[in-house]
Amino acid sequence: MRFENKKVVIASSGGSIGLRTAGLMAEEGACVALVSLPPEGKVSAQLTDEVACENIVSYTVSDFASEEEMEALSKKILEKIGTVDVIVTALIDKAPEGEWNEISDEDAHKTVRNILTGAETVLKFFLPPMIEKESGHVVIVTSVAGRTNVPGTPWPEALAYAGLGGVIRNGATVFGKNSVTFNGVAVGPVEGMDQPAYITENVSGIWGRKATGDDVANAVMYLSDDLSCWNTGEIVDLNGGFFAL
Amino acid sequence: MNRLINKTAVFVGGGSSVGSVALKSYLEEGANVVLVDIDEKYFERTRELREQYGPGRVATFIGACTNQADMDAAMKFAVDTFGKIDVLINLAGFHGSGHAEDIVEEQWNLAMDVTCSGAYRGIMAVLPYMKAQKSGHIVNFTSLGGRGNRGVAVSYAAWKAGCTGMTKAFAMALAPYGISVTAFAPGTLDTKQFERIPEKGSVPFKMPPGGFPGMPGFKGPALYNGQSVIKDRPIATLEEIAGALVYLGSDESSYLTGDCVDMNGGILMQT
Amino acid sequence: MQKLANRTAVFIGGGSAVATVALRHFMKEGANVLLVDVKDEYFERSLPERQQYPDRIKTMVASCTVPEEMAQAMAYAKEVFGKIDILCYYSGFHGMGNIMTVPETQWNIALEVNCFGFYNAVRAVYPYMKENQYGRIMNFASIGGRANRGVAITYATSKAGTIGLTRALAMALAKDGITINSMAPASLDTSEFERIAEKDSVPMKRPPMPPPGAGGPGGPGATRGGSFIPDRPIADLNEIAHVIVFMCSDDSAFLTGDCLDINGGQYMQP
Repeated sequence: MRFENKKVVIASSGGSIGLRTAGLMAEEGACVALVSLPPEGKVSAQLTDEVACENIVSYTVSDFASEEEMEALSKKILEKIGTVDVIVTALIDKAPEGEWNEISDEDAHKTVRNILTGAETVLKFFLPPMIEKESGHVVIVTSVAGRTNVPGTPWPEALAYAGLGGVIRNGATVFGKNSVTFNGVAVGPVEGMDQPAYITENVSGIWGRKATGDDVANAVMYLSDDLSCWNTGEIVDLNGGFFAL
Repeated sequence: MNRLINKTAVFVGGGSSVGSVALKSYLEEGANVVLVDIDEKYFERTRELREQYGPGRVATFIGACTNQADMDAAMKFAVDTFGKIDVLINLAGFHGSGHAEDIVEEQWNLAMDVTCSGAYRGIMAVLPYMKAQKSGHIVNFTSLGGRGNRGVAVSYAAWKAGCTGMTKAFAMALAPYGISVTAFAPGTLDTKQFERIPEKGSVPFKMPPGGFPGMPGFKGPALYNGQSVIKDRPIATLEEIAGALVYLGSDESSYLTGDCVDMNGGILMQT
Repeated sequence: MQKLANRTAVFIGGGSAVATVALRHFMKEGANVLLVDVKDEYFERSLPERQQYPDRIKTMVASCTVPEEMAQAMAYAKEVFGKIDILCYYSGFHGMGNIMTVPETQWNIALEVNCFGFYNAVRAVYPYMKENQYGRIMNFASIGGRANRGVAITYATSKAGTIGLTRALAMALAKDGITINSMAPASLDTSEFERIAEKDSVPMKRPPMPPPGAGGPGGPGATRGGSFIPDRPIADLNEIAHVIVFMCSDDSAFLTGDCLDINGGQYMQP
């Protein structure tokens, strides 16, 4: 099994990407802590419905960007699973619709906080065990909207998803000396995700279908595999051919 | 170990170091493989492995990617032997010699003919089969040398970049048939487990006076001789490369198309 | 011929070293410029220019992080020069730390200055540019947000973010004849000016000198990248200014949403 005895922390704002990544990694032998947004119990219910959940423990946080909350949660999770080998973040948020200059400051900050600061905060508290043992993989799920100009992208989302690219490249550069890799998967439309219309309508990939949670999970697993340890600072453009570098 | 179960793969340039190691990974993951290369001697590298798995799982074919008829025959052979083709990996490459002021035209043309047109011929040859079955994965093995500012032969940079660009165009064109086309661009590889076989038709790389930017021994200004950012890992192992080729050849990557996966230890991170 | 004749530009972060040198070129090219910065002391750098062109250069103290102040700055530019054609955004904040050590406050300030501040400026200038269906907007980003550089996480993230923000705004404003681009230079030669510490910044703690070949704060070889141009490890601010003039002139009419990499070849993107 590809992830036998690997300890995986997945931070997901909900939907198929977090669920399927947890499920497929658990099937490959990983022990997964799946952290999601409330309501509590929702993800556990989905887990029993959708995936083999023997090796998955579900947790809930109200705000991924809250240092206080993440610190407490990381202690709790690390006590339970001991260490971390893989961190996956799949945080998405929808900025309110409307003209670019009519988005309120508060809404704009909230979107950036939920996507970008959230991912950084998760890493801040789960990275130390990897640095200490000098091995590990970080995979950040971001959006095609942070890679290129998708028509209709609200600017806070473009900012936040592009910012995740900065986190990936800087993390890869800085923590390569600790043998920790940082990579990304930039997704377009994905089944089972609550995505905004500009993604589902304007990113018309050439496959004529959305990606599935499994498609994304498989890319995440490729990048989390110890065999991919020379892959770092890379963002895989998994959007069905809309944009690829 | 069945990520490629019941799949048939054709490796053009299959006798290369990468092809030889990828063969092992593909066989372990359950695929049948046809190695295509220009000379029997390339297949020596995998003799033991091939004997271990036997003719029911792996076959070889002599043919050149510089010849369309050879490629057509190779694909037909693969289909005759294993019934179908699910994965085509274009591994054949040619560096060509010469820095910018010392390019030999024949080498330049040969580099194009192998690295870029060779992949094109492979794709043309496999297309009828993949089109008919409405599925397939095509992986073009390109290079960091065609992606970033590296001190490689100009012909190498040019045609590896050409092959990456071609990948995107083919991805757009072949998606309606359910065929994904991706590129894979690694940095330097650790090939020392194999004895080197010089590329056919190649002349040795001629260093310009004073060395070449990015190459060891260069005496000029401290240029971007970018290295891996990962501790103690200056180059990739072939097993790691094979791991990526398994992902790109399997159904795990079936939504991925047109993309070039860069595996280079962080030497080049594209935005 | 003057590339910016009769154009009016607003420089946010106009007291920075880059803006001060760009100002000289904008004068030569015929523009009027309002310099906006957070403290008067920044404007001392451009004293000779301001004395030479008292009617064409004005200054104003205002902060990019306060939307109202940005609106006031644009209103002032309109009042003194009659219109606004060009917005150059130079404000920047480095911050400190890596993913694990970054203080929350520094993270937030970096996003505030490098990202939201740019948005505030664009939103404030928009009505004036819309009025004339013309505008050139330049956002000063960095290779630190673009490539594998072992800079502070705050800097890498916010500069990467602002490049994405630039693209989104470029799409939104194209219909009004406004182009928006960012640029990502590498190290700059600012030795002409005395350094003024960034407001609210905490000095970045450098690790002790690493052994040869260890490659600074990143992994081995990570940040060793140098310019490819012989004897030119860093950029002259005049070279940067030429690029800014291009981005703000009619010559760049078909360029929008792009990020210009001016780095001596140390990072070439496929």
